Amino acid sequence: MNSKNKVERLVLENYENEFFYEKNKSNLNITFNRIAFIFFVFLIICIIYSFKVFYLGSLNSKIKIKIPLPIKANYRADIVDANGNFVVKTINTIDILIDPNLVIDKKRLLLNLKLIYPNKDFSKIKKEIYGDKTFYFKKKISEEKYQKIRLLGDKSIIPEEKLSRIYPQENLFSHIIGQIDDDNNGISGIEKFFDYELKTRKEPLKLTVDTDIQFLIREELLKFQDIFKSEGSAAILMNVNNGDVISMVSLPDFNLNKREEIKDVKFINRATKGVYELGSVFKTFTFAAGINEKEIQPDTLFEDLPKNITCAGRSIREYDNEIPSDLTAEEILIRSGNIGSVRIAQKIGIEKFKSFLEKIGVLNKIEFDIEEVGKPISFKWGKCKLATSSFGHGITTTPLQLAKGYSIITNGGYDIKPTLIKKNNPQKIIKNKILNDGVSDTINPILRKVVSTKEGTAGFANIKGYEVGGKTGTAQKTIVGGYSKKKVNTFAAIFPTSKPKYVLIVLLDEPKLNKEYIYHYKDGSGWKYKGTAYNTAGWTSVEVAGKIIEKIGPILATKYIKVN
Amino acid sequence: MTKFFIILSILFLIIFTTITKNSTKRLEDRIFLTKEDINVLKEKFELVLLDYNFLTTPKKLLEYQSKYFEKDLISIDINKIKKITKRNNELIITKFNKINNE
Repeated sequence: MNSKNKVERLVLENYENEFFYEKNKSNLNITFNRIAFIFFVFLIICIIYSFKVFYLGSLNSKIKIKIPLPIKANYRADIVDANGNFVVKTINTIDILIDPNLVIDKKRLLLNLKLIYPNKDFSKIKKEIYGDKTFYFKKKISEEKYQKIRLLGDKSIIPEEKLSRIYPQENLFSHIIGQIDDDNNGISGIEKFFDYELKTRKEPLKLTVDTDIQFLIREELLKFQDIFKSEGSAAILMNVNNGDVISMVSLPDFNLNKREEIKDVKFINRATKGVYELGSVFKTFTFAAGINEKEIQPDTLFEDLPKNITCAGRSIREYDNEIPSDLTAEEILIRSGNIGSVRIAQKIGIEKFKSFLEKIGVLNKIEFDIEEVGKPISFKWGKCKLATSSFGHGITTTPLQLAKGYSIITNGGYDIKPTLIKKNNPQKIIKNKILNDGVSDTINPILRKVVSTKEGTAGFANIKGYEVGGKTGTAQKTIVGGYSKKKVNTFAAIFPTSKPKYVLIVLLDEPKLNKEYIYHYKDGSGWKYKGTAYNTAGWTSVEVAGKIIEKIGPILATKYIKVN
Repeated sequence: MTKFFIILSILFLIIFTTITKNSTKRLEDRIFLTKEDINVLKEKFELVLLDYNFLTTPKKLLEYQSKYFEKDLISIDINKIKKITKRNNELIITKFNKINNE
């Protein structure tokens, strides 16, 4: 074979590889795209929801979840009056106990203790120190004495730290504040109602009451309790526009510092717990209901009013037989006519009258800031009940509710809630008008006439410069199956009537006639009258209210009215 | 040169932070002590206020009055209260009680 022929031919040609790269269009790739898509969708949803969450988070929640504050052991917040003065102050005190079993030299210990307490009677201590049981040597000792006792260095002396509530005003606020037990739990009054709050709050609890005014009212009540020999008495002074109770006194009261167990019913808080038939003070409500329901006007004439009517066999009489037979609605209120009030109530009707009394809060139990609140006795309404209720008989309520009712009908018809606690933002309170326009404007001048005119029953409260208005109420006390001769005399005063600011309720429980007391007429005549002529509110409660207004008036005028 | 500046600035920051932290700590201590002092003073003030409230209760004041003064206290007639207003360096005395005495 020729070598030339044997030349191998090397042919270079492009090798066409069967493998070439292209985007894999396998199922796997399609799944990845789907996941990415779903992820993207979820991401968008998450972002949207995140925005929504941030938006919702930025809004102020209407539902406020209250996290309960921890109750501190051996702690109780102080209570101050409207002027920031202490009414109750908590201080830590030390009680000293002695364990006789640990005493090394009993004679020496007694001698040392005598040096620290030279005025203390040691006869009882001597007996106990030679006994076996641990005993209290002295309670609530001062820091100075404690340091002296500590320096004795005796192991038998055991100091015991205790919480003490100090009441600088002693009896003055006893029915309002109430008491606490040895375990720091409130057992009555504000101490009980605000028990949890007092154990948890840092700042003192501020009340609406004013110490100076409370003192002056209590002094007058005490003075007249002695003059009229009443079983008890009560007074409430309240702001008609916001329900702030400036003073609330009930007698008899008790010294809170003594921490006595009060069981006698005569110590009941007559201002809030006492449920009474209050008599003619209810006639104002009957008149107001008539005006509110547009059934009467002040000049609506009631003709041929009898002196006596009978309902279900029971007689309803006029107290004053001299009262004319033809009276306008206004005259009925001023002269305190019983039959006239019955006629007004009959014009109003049961449903409207009942609804009105419910609206102003005299029929049902009131919500208040202390536990001791009385519940008006419920009854079945009927024609006779309507008749007797119109002049305040057969219907019961508390003096506090009476104050609330008078506030509403004289303040322009705005609902108020009596309170003892000072509000932080009084401006923020939204007023709720529950009576029609014109009710207060109609009633206030008439209440003024009850005090300022000869026909009215409350002339002794006509103190110059205060425009006092009001209505008297003399009621017999109820006993089982009827009425006793004992009385409850009430006067509901408002002042000044041109623009009412305060309501003052004075209640005397079972007052008696006083033959020696000298009355000074307030009609400008300068006349004096010796002795209580009648055991009625006009001769008892009105006189007390007049004296109270005379004393507290300048303080109220200068302290609570802004000088322009 | 750059390195030098970086190291210098780091050192400066370290020293500055240390000084700031130390002075903050001192301030915190002073705040704490002041707060404690305030609490002690607050407690003292409350006890003094309690003493004051006790010694100036209306009951006590009347006791002092009867003990040290011969004249009795009388209630003020509201119509005798006047209002003094200062306007353009001039004192204007007006009636305080605007209620009509009828």
